[in-house]
Amino acid sequence: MKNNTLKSFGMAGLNALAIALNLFPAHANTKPAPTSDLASQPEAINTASIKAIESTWLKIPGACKAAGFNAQPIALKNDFISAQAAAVYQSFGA
Amino acid sequence: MSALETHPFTARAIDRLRSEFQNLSDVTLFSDIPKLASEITSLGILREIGGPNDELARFIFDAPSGALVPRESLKAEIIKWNGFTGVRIWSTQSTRLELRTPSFKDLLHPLFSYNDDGTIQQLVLFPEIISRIAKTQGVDTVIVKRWASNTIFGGFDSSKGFYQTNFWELENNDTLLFADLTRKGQVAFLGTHDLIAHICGINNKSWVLLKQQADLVFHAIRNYFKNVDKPSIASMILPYTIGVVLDDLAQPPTYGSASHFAFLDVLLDSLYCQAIAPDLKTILTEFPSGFEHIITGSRNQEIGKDRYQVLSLVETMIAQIKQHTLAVEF
Repeated sequence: MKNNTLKSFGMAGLNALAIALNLFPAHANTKPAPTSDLASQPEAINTASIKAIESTWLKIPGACKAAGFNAQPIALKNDFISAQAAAVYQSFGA
Repeated sequence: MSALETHPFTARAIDRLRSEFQNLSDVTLFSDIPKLASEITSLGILREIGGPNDELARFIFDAPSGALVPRESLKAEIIKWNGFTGVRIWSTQSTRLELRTPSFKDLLHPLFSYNDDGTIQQLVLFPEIISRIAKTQGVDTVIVKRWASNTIFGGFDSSKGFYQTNFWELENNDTLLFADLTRKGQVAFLGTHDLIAHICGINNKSWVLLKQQADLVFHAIRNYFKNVDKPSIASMILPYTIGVVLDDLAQPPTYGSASHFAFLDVLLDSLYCQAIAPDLKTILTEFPSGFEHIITGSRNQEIGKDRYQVLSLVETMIAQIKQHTLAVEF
């Protein structure tokens, strides 16, 4: 394909490519989008992208925002409960 | 003083919880539904403890030996006390723990967590009380339905190092939602990451600047995609990267980080000048390795000081996105 361009014959072409490349991800609904549904083209593109990038995504530490606490353990000499927190616990009967 | 009571969630109770959760709106203040929110968050923490998504584990040490307690030794159960629902976390291999991250003591219930010698016997956490503590710093904790649907109530493959559906952060352009919450002074409270990365050590003074940065990010991304209904993954990599940098800035250890600001500046500029077209209709064939260099770089104050290096790293990632795409024409 010239210039990394895929000229597909509508959704059928994209689906055929996705199927051929086994691009439907395991976790997604693997039913190809209906060929008459133009609104689902972006979903099909993104489904294909997610499947294609999955292996490279897994290799990158910190790719997952929800698991990326940017800190290392540090031994603390003194760590006290703050006055604000202590007041909250006291107000709840602690 | 009443004692802690073990209160395991039965399958029926979880079904009830899921049903009530489904009726929530997209973002719900903890303070509006404190009892329900406490149950949801407690379940979220419970599900993560001892597993690959447990972000507390690497900070829990055995006090006498100074050794990290094995992740698999960490157990958790749901508890109740005085009408509060919470979670108790302990290690099967140590009853004298220390938590090696500042300010975590604010989140441990003082009546139930400590040994006489000041070491930690168990971590007793009540989300409703923690939420009130966050509020003393002007920050509201919230339940985000979309996120909890994928984590607490979603499918989780324990063989993978992340939630199976974690791609949703990228697919759903969640940076926009995260920026929106942050600029409004809200933080999600759904699991261990939220607890230790965002709530532990929360500080109202630092949130003044953080909210301003989040507001910039929110408007930049909303504007970028204003004419695009469903962006492609390729065009969402830049916003996603911005989101990870902003997430770091919303963590107390990195509040106000100059290097993060330097990278955020360049990344936002790339959005403003549309270095990647927002309506790019391409299949992305490889996740850009340059992403990691940007995140690592943003966490390095020396790199952040060198604007040329910051520019170069961002440009490299942009080039990789353009290189690893398959254009689709309809």
